[in-house]
Amino acid sequence: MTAAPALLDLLSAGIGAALTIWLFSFAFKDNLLYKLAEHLFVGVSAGFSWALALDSIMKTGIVPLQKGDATIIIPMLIGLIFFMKYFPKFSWIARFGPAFVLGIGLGIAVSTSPESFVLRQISASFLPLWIPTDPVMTVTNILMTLIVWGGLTYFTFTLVPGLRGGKTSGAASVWTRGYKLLMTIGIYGMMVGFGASFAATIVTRVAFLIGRLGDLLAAPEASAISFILVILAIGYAYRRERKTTPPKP
Amino acid sequence: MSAIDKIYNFLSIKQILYGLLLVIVLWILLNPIGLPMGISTSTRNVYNYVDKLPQGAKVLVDVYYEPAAATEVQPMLGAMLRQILPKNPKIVFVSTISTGPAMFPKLQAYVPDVFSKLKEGDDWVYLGYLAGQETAVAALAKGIKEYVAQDNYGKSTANMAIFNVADKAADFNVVVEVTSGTDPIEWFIRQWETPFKTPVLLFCLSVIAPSVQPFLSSGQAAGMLTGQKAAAEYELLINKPSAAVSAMDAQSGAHVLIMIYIVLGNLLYWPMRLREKGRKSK
Amino acid sequence: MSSTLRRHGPYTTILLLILFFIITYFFVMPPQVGVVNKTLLNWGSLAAAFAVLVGTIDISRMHVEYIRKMTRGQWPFSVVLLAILVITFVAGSYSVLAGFGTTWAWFAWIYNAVYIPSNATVYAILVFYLASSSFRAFRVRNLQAFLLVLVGFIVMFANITIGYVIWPGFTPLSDWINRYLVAAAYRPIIIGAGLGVIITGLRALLGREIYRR
Repeated sequence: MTAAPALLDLLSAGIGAALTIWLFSFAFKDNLLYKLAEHLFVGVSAGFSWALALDSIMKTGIVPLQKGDATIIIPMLIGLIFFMKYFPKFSWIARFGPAFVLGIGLGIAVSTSPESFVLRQISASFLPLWIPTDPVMTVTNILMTLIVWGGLTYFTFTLVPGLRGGKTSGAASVWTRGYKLLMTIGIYGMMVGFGASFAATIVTRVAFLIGRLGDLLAAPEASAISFILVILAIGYAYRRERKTTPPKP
Repeated sequence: MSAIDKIYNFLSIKQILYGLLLVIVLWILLNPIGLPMGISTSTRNVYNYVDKLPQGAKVLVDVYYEPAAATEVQPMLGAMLRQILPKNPKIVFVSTISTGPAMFPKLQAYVPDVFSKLKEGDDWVYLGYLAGQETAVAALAKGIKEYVAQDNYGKSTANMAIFNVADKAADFNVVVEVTSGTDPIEWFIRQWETPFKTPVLLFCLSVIAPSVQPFLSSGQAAGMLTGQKAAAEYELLINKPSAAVSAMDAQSGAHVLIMIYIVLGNLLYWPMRLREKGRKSK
Repeated sequence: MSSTLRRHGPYTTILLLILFFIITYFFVMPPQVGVVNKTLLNWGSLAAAFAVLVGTIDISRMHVEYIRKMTRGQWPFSVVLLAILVITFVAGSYSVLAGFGTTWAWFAWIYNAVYIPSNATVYAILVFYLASSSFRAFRVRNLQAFLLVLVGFIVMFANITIGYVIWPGFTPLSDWINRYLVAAAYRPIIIGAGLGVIITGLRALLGREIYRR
């Protein structure tokens, strides 16, 4: 292996370590090196997105066109219409581009959503509430049914009996109490969901941190230099803040 | 200022918490402890499902994750590829997110033993990023070769042997959605599972797991792996412990620190609150 | 004619497309309609890619404006941003147009050196805010909060190796909670999301989603 690729790998690891530490420094204090890293990230993201979009256009548009599929010109023209927004006189034409994309996206989503998101989920909520051979599943199914219906009750903001005024005696009162009970079960069910969600969030965020620290350990010299630089930058930021902040009376 | 106030104010200095978090995780990464772990039912179910796939199984893998998420989901995907390798699979890799092409080479470097045994074009292909989100997913379901003229490396898909057996949604044995978000899960369930009944396996971040559990519960997802713990469990099940297993001790350290802070926060909060209430009632 | 096209053209496009996809999904159609369906999907995906190009242009224009106005404290960073954007843009465009796809060595080097570590770090930094907000805001004030914390702790212990050492039962308990209770808790949200998609489609069909002047 020649020296050049190894040097480039070293440089790549060094830049990665520097950007990691400088971006992390924001948690401690906003500073110039953080801003530099942030703008580098945004710039490269924008350029990267451009290249990826161009690649997608190449694969699904230009290459088929080169192979003789002339009809591909139509979506290419529709795509070019997006750029009409930069010409004030013709900016109204630009609305057709998103309309085309939106129409297709909504069309396919609306077609399959009733079955996949509503019917299948509702049918999965109808569970056997009595399994003589399995008391654990019996309790589980009852809990699940109550939580699902309770949650649906909670998210229903119309047809709220007795909670927004109106009759609260007799049959209406029983109905209101039942509704409130179901809603309370739904809230407690959702607390269980949110508790699990919180725990799950911690796993993910810590995993992200572990990933970054693992990469820093792989480039220790660059990490050390970047760390020293960021300490100086944070010190400079604090010093500047003290100079520009008026003293307290 | 009472002792409780002083302790609370000290713990409230966020830089101390951040520093402790960094130090603990770094220390454990450099000095792993090697604690044991259990295997959850959901991981075992995914392992058994993949085990039961037929010889020559046709798999579509959506590489839909960013660099940060690779720590959690790449080990799962790597373990699955290692498990499925003896079945001579046909794998079509695609990305419906623009970061996918940046992550695919990392995957190849993570499991070189898999890619060295599979032939590009015959056994596997990577189509790169396809714009359009759900529209792209729906277009893939209707016919990949007609929709995507070349792969991520600029090679024409027209004569690739893999598409003779794995071209439309109905041809595939399973879709493996490796994702850091919930959107592609919804797209594949709406456009592949609902109309064509193609099974979908979910390999996702822990953070999105609760919101996609209903799909597993309703049978719309054939199985689900969530988070670094599931990745570590899967590595243990295939007897190839790797990145995920080695990260679990560091997870423990960070979790314990956060739990201690939550408990301390509440233990300090209640005396302060009762004292405030007492002052107000006077 | 022009004003009719302007006002009703985009809405009519959306209406026709939604109707087409709904009808072709729910009714058996001749094969030619299936071909049109497939073609429209391919076209939609291709057209959507152009929207990403527009996004890149918009961000460039914003920062060119900062440089032009010499916005204090911002313009030097905008110069850096545009410089790296142009470099990545040129490298990426060359990679695609020269037939490498996205795998030309220098383009790959840029995104390995700059994009991957910074993208990963931007998400990783959230762990600090999660930790500090857990200390500040996580208060067990009532039974609901207590249930949230209890379940949170059970699942946290199940997710870590030390939890298994303390009590191996955390894993199956957390399994049960996630598989049944959490699924039930989030099911109304999924149903609500599904109804939301249907209603958005209906609103688009009825022209209610269009801003009226």
